[in-house]
Amino acid sequence: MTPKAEFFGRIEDYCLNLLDAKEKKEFERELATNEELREEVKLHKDIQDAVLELDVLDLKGTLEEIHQENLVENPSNGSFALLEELTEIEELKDELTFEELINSFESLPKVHVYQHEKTSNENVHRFYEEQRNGSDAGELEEELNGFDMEGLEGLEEAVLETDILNLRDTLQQVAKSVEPQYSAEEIDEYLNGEMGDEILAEFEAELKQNSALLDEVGLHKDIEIALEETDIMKLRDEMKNIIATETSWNVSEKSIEDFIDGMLEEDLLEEFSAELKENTDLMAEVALREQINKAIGEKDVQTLRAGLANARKSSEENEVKSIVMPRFDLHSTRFWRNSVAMIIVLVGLIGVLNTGMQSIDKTYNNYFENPTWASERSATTVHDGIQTARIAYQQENFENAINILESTSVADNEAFVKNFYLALSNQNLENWDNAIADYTKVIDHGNNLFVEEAEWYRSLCYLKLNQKAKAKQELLAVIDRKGHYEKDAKAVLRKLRYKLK
Amino acid sequence: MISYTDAQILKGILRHDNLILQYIYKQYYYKVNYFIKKNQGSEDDASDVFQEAIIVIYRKLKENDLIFEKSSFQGYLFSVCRFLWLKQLEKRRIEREKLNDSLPYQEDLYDDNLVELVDKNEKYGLYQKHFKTLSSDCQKLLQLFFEKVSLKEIAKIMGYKTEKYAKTRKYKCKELLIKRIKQDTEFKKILEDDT
Repeated sequence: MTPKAEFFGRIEDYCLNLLDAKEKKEFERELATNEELREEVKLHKDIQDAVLELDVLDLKGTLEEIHQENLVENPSNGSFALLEELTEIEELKDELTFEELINSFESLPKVHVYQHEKTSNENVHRFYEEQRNGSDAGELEEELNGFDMEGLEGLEEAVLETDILNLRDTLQQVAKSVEPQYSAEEIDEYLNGEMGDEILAEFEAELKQNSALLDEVGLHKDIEIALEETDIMKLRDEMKNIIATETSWNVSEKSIEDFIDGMLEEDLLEEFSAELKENTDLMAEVALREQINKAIGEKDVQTLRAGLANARKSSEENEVKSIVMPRFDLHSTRFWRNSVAMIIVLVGLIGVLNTGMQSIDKTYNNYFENPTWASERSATTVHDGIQTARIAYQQENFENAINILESTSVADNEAFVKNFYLALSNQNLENWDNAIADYTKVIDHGNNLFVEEAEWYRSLCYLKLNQKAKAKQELLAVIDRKGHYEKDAKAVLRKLRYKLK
Repeated sequence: MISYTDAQILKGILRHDNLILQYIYKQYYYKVNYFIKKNQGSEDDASDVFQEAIIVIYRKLKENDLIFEKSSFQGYLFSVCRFLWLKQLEKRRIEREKLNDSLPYQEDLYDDNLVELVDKNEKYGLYQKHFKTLSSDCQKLLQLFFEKVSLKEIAKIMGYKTEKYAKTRKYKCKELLIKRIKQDTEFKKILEDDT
């Protein structure tokens, strides 16, 4: 028996024509009788021919490469190229109308493929897709192995759980859209024990599993308890009512009035001031009351003004002629200085001469004397409201003076003259509040020669009104000025038994 | 002005004594108002906080859970007001660190019980607020129902022809109430806080 290697060797030699004539003759004789040998020789020749087809092998290699590239760029979607005509539609995710599908493509297989693609995100499709792409997961795993995954164990599994992620999203959507399956009526029936046995069992079973229903039942219970709290609702209403109707300050009305009038006792004053610092409502109240006081004063003046309008008219009609009347120039500084000087001298004299005061009234009377309205002699017949008022004032016709001054228009920056004599007129008529209001205007103006006098006379008004705190405050301001009235102010303070600061 | 002892004040709150309530308001409100205004609140905030603080104290009194050992009524009231306002600031995402503390308070009063009670008060207060927005008919009907008055009696009192109608009407009222509560943004915030 010929060994197998030798057998294949002789076949090969024969195919390659390497045998000598004698060997070839002998081999061909064998070949003619032996069929197995003939088949073997044929196989060898075919293999030899195939191996020799190098161009074909090259072509195959190239085609293989192209195929591989295509695989990377366009993974097969198994649509059998039926989707090629759908490229006009940018994304298959877009909704196509039924008509678009039928009219444009007129092919049921294409419609099927389109629907297939559209639903490919659904969980069922995901499942099959994942099965098909099982090898992808393996590759991803290999890629992830290259990173440090410490502390992130299970991350890749979680990321790959797209079906679970989708399911979670879907469930959330469903939960949002689904109405509670039990009505308020049924929940109430359950809470009131009015639910039939069969439904009750079902309800309770649901309650064990359904947290939304549990919350709903909880809400119903809470509402019932809350609405049974009639006492709390009543108390809340009462508090609301108190807050809406009551004042929020802890001081009496009398204390507020006394404070405004400067009559609040020192110990109460401290308490009052402490609250006034924080209590904005009390601040507003005090301010309001002060404004009301002022407004009332103004109203008073206005009423008087209206009542005496006719007098002014007639006074204007009958020109006042006086040879002793000087030219009354409002803009003359000299005039004002003289006026003030006169007042100062007079009041100073009064202050010095008066001793032995026993009471506020006496003190007032001792310190107040109506100052003269100083004049400059000049031959003029200039007649205006101020001149007329001056005449009335000098004639001690204070009411008339007030009416005339009230109806006389003066520029704002000159109004302090008018206000000062209005104040003096009012003080003479014992219209203390009005006088205080007018003096305040003079003082508030600030830049005029009457300020010190106004403060002094205002302090006397407060004194007369027995508003000791305010009078004290005013007198201290006068003392601070270290002016003509300093000594008088100190004297009055001593009489009032106030301690000097 | 008459002044009351802490015991008299607490009794007054329990009895809803108008004089005592007025006294509390006049005595302490302005300080709370000042504190809240200093800390980014308004006049309305101040009155709400003050009112709810009184309600919280009332709830405590009802539960026999109010004993002043180290504190006084004033200290307790101010502490509760401050706590309520801090909670509001937190809700409004306003920094609490910059608080201008003008009210004397006691930190140790801020225990779990108070937190729980304040939360409950807030929740119930919201329900009660919406209850008050219902028609007087609905309010009366629900109130009678919760007072366990029979439907027959309710129908009679309310002038309904049948018990069935009374029942249907009651459900409608309650459904409306629940709808309003659920629509309230405050309710959503409460739910968020609970979770």
